[in-house]
Amino acid sequence: MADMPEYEVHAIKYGDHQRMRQENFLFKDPHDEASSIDFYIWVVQGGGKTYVIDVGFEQKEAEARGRSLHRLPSDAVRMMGADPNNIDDVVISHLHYDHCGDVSSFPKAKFYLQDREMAYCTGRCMTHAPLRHPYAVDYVVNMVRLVYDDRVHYVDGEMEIAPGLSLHHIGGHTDGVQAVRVWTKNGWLVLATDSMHFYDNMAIPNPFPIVYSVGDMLDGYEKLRALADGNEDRVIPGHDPQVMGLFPAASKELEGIAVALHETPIGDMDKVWRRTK
Amino acid sequence: MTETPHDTYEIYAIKYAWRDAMRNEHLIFKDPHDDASMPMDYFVWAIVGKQKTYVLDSGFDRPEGEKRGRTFLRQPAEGLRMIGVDASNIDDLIISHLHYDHIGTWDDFPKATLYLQEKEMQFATGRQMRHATLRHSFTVEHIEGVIRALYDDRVVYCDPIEELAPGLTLHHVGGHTHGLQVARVWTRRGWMVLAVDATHYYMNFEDIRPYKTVHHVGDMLEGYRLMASLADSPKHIIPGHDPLVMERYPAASKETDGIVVRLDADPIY
Repeated sequence: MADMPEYEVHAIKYGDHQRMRQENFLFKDPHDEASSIDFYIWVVQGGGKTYVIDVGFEQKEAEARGRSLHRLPSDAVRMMGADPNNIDDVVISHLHYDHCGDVSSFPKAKFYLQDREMAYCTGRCMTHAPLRHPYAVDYVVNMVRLVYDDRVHYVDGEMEIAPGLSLHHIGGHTDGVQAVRVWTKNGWLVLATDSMHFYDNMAIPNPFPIVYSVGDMLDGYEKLRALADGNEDRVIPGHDPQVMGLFPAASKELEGIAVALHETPIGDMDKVWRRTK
Repeated sequence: MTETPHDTYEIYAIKYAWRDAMRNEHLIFKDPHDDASMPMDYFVWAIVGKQKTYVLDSGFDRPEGEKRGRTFLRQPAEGLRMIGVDASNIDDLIISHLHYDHIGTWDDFPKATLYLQEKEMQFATGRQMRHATLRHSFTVEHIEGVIRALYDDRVVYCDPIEELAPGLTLHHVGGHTHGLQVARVWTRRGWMVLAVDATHYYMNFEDIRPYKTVHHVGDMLEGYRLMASLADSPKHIIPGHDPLVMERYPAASKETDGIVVRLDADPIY
C-alpha cells in the first residue's frame, strides 16, 4: 500500500430537514420520535488533489421540497480550502435531487456516474411516480447536457479514479447508486452515500423506505462492510446527523459543519452500531 | 384460434425536407467508380385508422435544418395539416429513434404520448455518446424534451414489441441506433412495414448494402431479415429516406402532389 496517499476525508453538512424517525425506515419502528435528516457532501484530499463526492441541491430545489439549505455545496468545498473552479473530478453517487444540483459551480470537472444510474432515471422506471419523485428533471437534463459536452465519465461497476480511491456500484436505493472507498491513515474508509442513509438502516437492519430493490439494498449493506475490510465503524452513512458528533470537527470554526472522517471516532461506535445494550 | 379483427389503416408519407448527396456518401462499402447522385428526402408518416390517427416521427424544424445544411420545405405539422391531421390533437406519437430528423418538432404535439424503445434513450444518454461520431446525429435539446415528457408521464417505453392497436405494432430492430424501431401496419394491401431508418433507401435492403450511419452492422443486417418476415412482400417495405417513394406511390390528392403520397395504394414499380 506504499503507493497510496493517505487521504483526508471530510463530511460537510450543507442542509437539513426535520421529520419523524418513522420516515427513515421501511418497517415501522414503534418508538417514533422527532428526527432530522442531514444533507452532506464529502471532500477527499490527498496526492496533491481534491476530489468532491456529490454536489447537493441549490436554493430553487430546496424551496420546492421544503428543505433548509445552509450553504451551497460549492461553498462547502471552499470551506475545505479548495476552489470549485479548479476541481477536476466530481463523483456523483446517484442523480437524486440532493446529490447533483450544484454541477454548474464546477466548470472544469468530469463527473463520475454509473451507467445504470442514467439508464434508470431516464428509463421506464420513471413512469412510476414513487420512483421518479426524488429526481429533479432539471438536474437530470443538466447531466445529459454534460454527457454531450463529454464531461461525464461513466462507470460500469467498479473503477479506481486514483490510487487508493475507488468507486463501487451498490444499487438498491436507486439502480445505479455507488459508494466510494478511500485509503486513510486509519485504513479503508467507505462513504456509503445513499447505499446507507442512517446507521440504523444497516445496524438493525431496517432498510430506508426510498428503495428500488430491497434485496439489492440489503446485499449492499454487506458489500459496504466488506469494502471496509469488515470494520463497519469505517462505513459512513449518507444522511445521519450522528456523523457530526461521532468524528472530530475539521476545525474549531467548522464545529457542527464539517468533520474529519479519516480521524479516529470520538463518539461511542458500539452504541451507534447496536453492539451493546 | 380466431383472428383478431384488425383496423385497416391508410398510410401517408409527408415530405418535409431534402438534401443533395452522392450515393457513395450513404454506403459503408463504397464503389470508387460510383459518382451517382443520390439525394435524400426527409419524411414523417401518418397512420390513419377509422378510430384514431397515429403519427410516426416528428422530423426537424427550420433552424435545425439550416444548422445541418438541409433544405427545409415545411414544418412537419404543416404537412400533416394538408391531409387533415391536426398535430395538436394527436394522442399517440411514435418515435422510431431519437436522431435529430425524427424527434425534432415534438412540441408541436402537446397532447401526445411518445412511444419509443427504452434502449434508444439509454443509447442517447449513455456512455457511447462520448463518441462524437455516434453523438453527431443527436441534438441534446431534443433529448432533454423527451426526458421532460417522461417526467410529465407522457412517454411509453416499448421493449421490444408493442401493440398500439390491433393491426399496428412496433418492433425493435436496432442497428442504425441501439433502439431503432419499425412499425408494422395492416392495410388494404396487407401487412406493410414502415422501415424508417432500418433501411434508408430501397438499395440498402434490396442489395444488402448497409447505410453508413450505423451503431451495429450485425443488427442492421438482421433488421433487413426481420422486416422481410414482417411485411407481405419487399414491396410492402417503405424505406425512410428514399426519394423513390415519392415516385412509386400516388399523391394523396391533387393539392399535395410532390408533398404527400399514399403508401397503402398499389406501388408503381
